Amino acid sequence: VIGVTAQRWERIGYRWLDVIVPSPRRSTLLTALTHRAPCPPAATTMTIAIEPRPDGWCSLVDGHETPAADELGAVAQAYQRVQDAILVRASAQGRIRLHAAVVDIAGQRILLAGHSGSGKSTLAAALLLAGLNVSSDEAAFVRDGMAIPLPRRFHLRPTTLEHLPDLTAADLLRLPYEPPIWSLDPAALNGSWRIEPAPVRHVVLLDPVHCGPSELSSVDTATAVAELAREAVPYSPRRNVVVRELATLLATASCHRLRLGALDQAIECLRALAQRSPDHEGLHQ
Amino acid sequence: VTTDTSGPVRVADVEVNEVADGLLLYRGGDDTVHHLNPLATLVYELCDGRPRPDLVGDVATILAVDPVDAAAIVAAALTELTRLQLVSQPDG
Repeated sequence: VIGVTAQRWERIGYRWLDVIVPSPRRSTLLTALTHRAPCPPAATTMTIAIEPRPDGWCSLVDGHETPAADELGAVAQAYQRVQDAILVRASAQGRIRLHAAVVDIAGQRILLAGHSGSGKSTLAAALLLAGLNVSSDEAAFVRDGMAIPLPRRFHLRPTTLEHLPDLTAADLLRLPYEPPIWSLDPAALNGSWRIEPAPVRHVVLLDPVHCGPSELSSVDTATAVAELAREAVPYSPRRNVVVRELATLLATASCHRLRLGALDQAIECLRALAQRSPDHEGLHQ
Repeated sequence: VTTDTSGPVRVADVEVNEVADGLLLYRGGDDTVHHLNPLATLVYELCDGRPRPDLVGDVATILAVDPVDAAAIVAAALTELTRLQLVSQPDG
């Protein structure tokens, strides 16, 4: 945070892009774009503001004004512009975007992959509460078997708060969608939140059941590729790159399916997975 | 290595990627992905135009199986690889 002639500016690092937000307090909801994950300065900058207008609100992205019906709509526009810009820059580096939460356990990076509603954010929040190093609840950019988490606040649904009542004491911002989304800065629970590249050791496909026990099982490569590609292709301009990067990823990472029931059991399953030697997986030669 | 190219050959324009349990093939023309298991991978990689009897013999040697069993493996694999248009055979 730097002060410029009494005006407050905030730099939000997204690794491929720095977002500059002047006077974020003019829009409380704009806080949804902010986070406290330290990122090195990026080569390009995007300036975002959300401002009221006599007939509604607008988002200002690099000075380009787009009207919106309300404050939330304007923030959503700005958020999408940021995500699109990140995707363009990451893709230009040959990275594919996997729909997956990212957790590091015992030095092993694990991707928790699944479609929207599969439980990524709920499990990510539970892992965070368990004291583990969760660096994204949504996406990872992957190249050469290395994953860089997408830095952003976690997006939690009301059901997540029902499962994890301890979260209500955390730094939550309510976004007035219907049903509402609760925005959580992971730094509120994990002061060591870092957005660092690391090789992926395990890929876990989430299979939500919402009740009963959590169980981990192995998944064959063909199934893993099909499920991962389904979520990655819409975010990639070149499908052969998706296939190539998935092949590289799965050449060194083991793949599993997690039947996501009880969260405490799911956490124990992932801890046990991280303790497995890669050699025991029979994948490293 | 044989110079006789009368046997099955891999079709061009297929991107080949290694995975832990075989190969992941991508063909841009029709935007398809195929995963070959280890046996299919072995046969696919030997499809360099060598005559089919040589192919069977090589599979038998590599897998240390009876030639009859190797012939069955090759036949099954080539049928599928040809159907998927990953391999072409001189006789169609």
